[in-house]
Amino acid sequence: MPGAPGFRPVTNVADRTASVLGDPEYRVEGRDKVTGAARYAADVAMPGMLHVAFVASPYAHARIVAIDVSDARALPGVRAVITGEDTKPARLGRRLQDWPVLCWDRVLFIGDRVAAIAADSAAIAEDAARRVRVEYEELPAVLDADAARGPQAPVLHPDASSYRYFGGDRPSIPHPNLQAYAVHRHGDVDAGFRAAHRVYSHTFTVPRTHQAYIEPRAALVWLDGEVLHVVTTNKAPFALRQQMAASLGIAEANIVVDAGHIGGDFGGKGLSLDEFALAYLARASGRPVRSVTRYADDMQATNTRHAATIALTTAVDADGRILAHTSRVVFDGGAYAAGKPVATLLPGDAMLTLAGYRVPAASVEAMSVYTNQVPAGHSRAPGQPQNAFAAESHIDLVARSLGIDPLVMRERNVVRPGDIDITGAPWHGTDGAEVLARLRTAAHYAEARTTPHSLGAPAIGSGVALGVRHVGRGRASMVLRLSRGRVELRTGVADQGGGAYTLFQRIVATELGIPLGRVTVTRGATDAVPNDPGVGGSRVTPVQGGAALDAARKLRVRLAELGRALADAGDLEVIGEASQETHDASMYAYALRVLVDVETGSTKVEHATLVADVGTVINPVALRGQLEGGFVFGLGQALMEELRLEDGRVTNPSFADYKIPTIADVPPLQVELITGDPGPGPFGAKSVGELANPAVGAAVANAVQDAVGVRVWSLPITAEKIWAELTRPDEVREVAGSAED
Amino acid sequence: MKFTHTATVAAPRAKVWAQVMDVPAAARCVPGVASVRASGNGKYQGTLAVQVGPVRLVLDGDLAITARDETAGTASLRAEAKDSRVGGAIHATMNLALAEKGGETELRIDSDLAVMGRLGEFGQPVIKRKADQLMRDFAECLARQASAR
Amino acid sequence: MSFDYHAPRSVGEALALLERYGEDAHVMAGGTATVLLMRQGLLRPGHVVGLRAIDELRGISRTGSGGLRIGATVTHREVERSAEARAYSSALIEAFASVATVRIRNQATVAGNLAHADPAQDPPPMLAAFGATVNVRSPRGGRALPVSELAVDHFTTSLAHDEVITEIVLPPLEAGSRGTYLKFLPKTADDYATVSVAATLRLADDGTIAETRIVLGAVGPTPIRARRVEEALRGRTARAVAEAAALVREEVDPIDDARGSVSYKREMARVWTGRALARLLR
Repeated sequence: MPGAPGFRPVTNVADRTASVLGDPEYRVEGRDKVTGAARYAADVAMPGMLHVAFVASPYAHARIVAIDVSDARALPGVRAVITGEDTKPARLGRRLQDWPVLCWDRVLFIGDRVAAIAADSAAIAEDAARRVRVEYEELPAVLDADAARGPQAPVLHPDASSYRYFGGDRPSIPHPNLQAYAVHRHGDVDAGFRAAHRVYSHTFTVPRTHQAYIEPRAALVWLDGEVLHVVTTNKAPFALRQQMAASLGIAEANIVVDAGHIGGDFGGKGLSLDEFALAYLARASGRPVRSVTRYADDMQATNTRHAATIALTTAVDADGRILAHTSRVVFDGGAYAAGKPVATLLPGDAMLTLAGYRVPAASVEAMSVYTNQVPAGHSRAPGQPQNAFAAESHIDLVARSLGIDPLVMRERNVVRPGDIDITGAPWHGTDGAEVLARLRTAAHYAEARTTPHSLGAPAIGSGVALGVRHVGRGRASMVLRLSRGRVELRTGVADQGGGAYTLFQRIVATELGIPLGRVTVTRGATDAVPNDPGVGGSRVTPVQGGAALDAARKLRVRLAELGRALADAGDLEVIGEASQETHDASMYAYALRVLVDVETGSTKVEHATLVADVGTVINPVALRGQLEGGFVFGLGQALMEELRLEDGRVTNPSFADYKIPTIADVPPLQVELITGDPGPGPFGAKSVGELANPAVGAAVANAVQDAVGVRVWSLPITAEKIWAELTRPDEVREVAGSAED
Repeated sequence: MKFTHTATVAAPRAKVWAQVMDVPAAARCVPGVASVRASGNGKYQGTLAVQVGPVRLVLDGDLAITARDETAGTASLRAEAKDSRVGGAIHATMNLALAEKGGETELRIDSDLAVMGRLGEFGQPVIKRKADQLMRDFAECLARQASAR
Repeated sequence: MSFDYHAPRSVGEALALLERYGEDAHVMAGGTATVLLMRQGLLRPGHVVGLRAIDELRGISRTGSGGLRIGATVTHREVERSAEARAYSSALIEAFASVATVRIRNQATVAGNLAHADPAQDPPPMLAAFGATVNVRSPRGGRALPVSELAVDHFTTSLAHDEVITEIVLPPLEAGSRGTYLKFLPKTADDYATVSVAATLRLADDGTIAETRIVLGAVGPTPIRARRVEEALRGRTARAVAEAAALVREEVDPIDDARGSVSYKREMARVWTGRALARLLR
């Protein structure tokens, strides 16, 4: 069998004068993508390859009584049919392996898989899937995260104690239907509340959303002797290798995972599903097997952003200064926790319920709950869009109640280096005062606030919101080879579109003082390159970028030791490593202006200003792309995105009904960069991939209230919600959603 | 998706009860039902043809009376049907209640319908309206039949 | 999914194919709707009869009386860029230009849109408001029917299986008549309407409203003609608009979906009917 068909090394631009980070940026894989030469997992085919279809549960919760696959098996062209009986007790997952490869006992959500078929064509496989007869006994479904925690709720995972958990012991949980539970306390919360001038409590909700990547999941799996080969859309191939090895009982050395270009990730592509069942089908059929997920199935059955209910209570003094804060966040984790990679099994930033502020005392409680809904996992800045929407709406409400300008309120409370923030630790990072000062100037805040409204025209309002994001952490390594005056960086980082290879090329060229064209970046499968933590967690620039820089530095030192110039040093190889344990974080803030049609509630963002602390800029175009893309991503979740579920079933599983913004919806965005505060990444870089999206929702909600005086307590901020508030009798509106003390 | 439909029948309750519990006859009140025959143990097999524009479905399935209480005038039915061509299925539970009101009988049907698989991707809101219409026609037809006898 | 694709060169050939293959055949023009249904597995024809190679179904021209004839396989984009269509009414352009994106409009055809009978489509309400008719042919001969009688339910037309739309004919506009098309898109520019309003209006010499025709999209199983609003405005002036537009709430029949609740859509039908009329009376 040929290895890694269809994947090519990353090509390079022609020789250019390099070594200056301010130089124009050329995306190294851009030509391949624009010309269509770039191959994605679904493009990869092998001779004799079979196509895969799955049989999925139509029930949110049911016991499998019997499965009859005889008709499916009898269909000409069907090469293998497997059920949960063939895969049990294998379960998959990133940190906690709680998701059956195929269910054998019970199904826990609509879309949970019970059988898989490999056939000569996709049509035959689909046809066979329809011929599988499954007898279910429907069980009461738990569709609500509050009901799931009740004393009468059926326990969805009675065997949870037997599940594999990577990296030590699974944190304990106070209720069997919890995936995760965590509390944090610092300072004297009670004293803060006793000293309060006012105490405010508000509750917000955020729905499930899909990452809306353009490329659905795909995988190709085949066996070459004892070695299992996996071509995947997973963005963390080494992690997938570990998960598959553990789940399937195969040594890591006998699994090769190859992840090339990925057609968008936005946090969702860290979880793999099909690859596990495909391994069984490859073994059963003796052939390569490929699956390409239908987008409707991707939306119904992969890992969405968590729906959440966020309850915040904050004590303030007469000037609006935060004295103490308590919060409770309930995430609906859906049927499985498999999509979450972090040790707590919570969405990454679940505990940051008042991020970016000085919080002398806090008590934070967060949990993720098992329900019979679509499993939730990671999505760009996990946990933050929920918490930032709540926190930044909450701060605005407090400011308005106290008669303080919303930006002034933030200026009084924003965290500065050394201040204790919501984590209870001193803040390492941006001076928040500088970010807000830049915002005030750049957004012409004072003038914008006094723009008169003209009669009959849409109402104009402006809103501000801030957000923080940690700089990525972790360990990575890569190989740098020198041969005949050219250097080749060999990395295991998959390309999910963020511009990693261009970043590495610029870092290496800069460090070695050579033209960009003399640095080649090559991506390798897990058998060809050192271990890599994968893309995610705002990690690539500070961690993998750090490894690239370390490699270049080591090469420079070796050359110095040898007393040779690069051109005549012969062949050399070094391994670059980085271990990034930073606690640095970046801050950003928005000021945006909305127009609200008061008769319909329809809201358009007319202009936005984003101030972002980014440290040193390595890829100027990609950096801007990440910030602008983050804004648009946030805009979608602010105004339109929602996976609508009824009885556990997604009722809008296509882009005809699940709307995301198009370019026509995107207003002018003024981006102001703060670059003077170096971060822990290469040359002082920070992370930007997840920096800009979470705060957009609250900025829009705040601007809407500024424009028309009503508050929207949930995302997305639809025209109908605004209209409903505008047409609601005043006495009802006063108490809606808000329990102000 | 849940629906409630009511219809008033100009006939005493006992008569309406007999009419409704004659499943093959009652099923003919569902527009598109081709055949319904008893398969024993209070179960029935049947076929329902539904067309939404160019999409034609032939749903083969079973109907079972899962509970009946003539004294209370209540019954529960469960229907499961599958279209093997498109790849979709419909599951429905129906709770019927009959209440006598001055010589007339009020028929109330609470139904809970799930449309699954590819079929459901056609657009749940449109399906919901179609199902609502179907159940309304069913209730009205039952009332008509019972009144006529 | 496998099927035979037929590319007849004449309407006669197309009809013969439909007759031969019966229910197993499906007519396709631009394919923007049909291919999606096929890919979803909801439509599985054994034979697809493509109309794109039939010359007699093409072209846009003015009729002798000052109306407009649009061939069945004319694309949305062709209408949008047609000088003849613009000369007929810029509102027609507005309706066709409102559909989806330019990529779709380059492919989707006028008759395909009508035959798909999606109640959220933009052109049908506008064509109905202009009083357009469609000419239809079958092996039994030809007939004409008003656009307003074409759609009978969600995605369902009154056409027989072997009938093919050959052209759309818009009657000459009466002197002083004007039209408008408004589409309410509260989420994104690339969406189906939450409600859309197509309206035409002609003033009498005394400045009162002589005639208005109002057809709403996306708020019923078919485009909805707002006859009560129309009647309430006859012989009246702009001052009557608010009261008349309120009547539309009970004329529409929307469904609860991702684009809004029933009550919201009824109210939005009122607001946008009022706006369309205000625009025509400006």
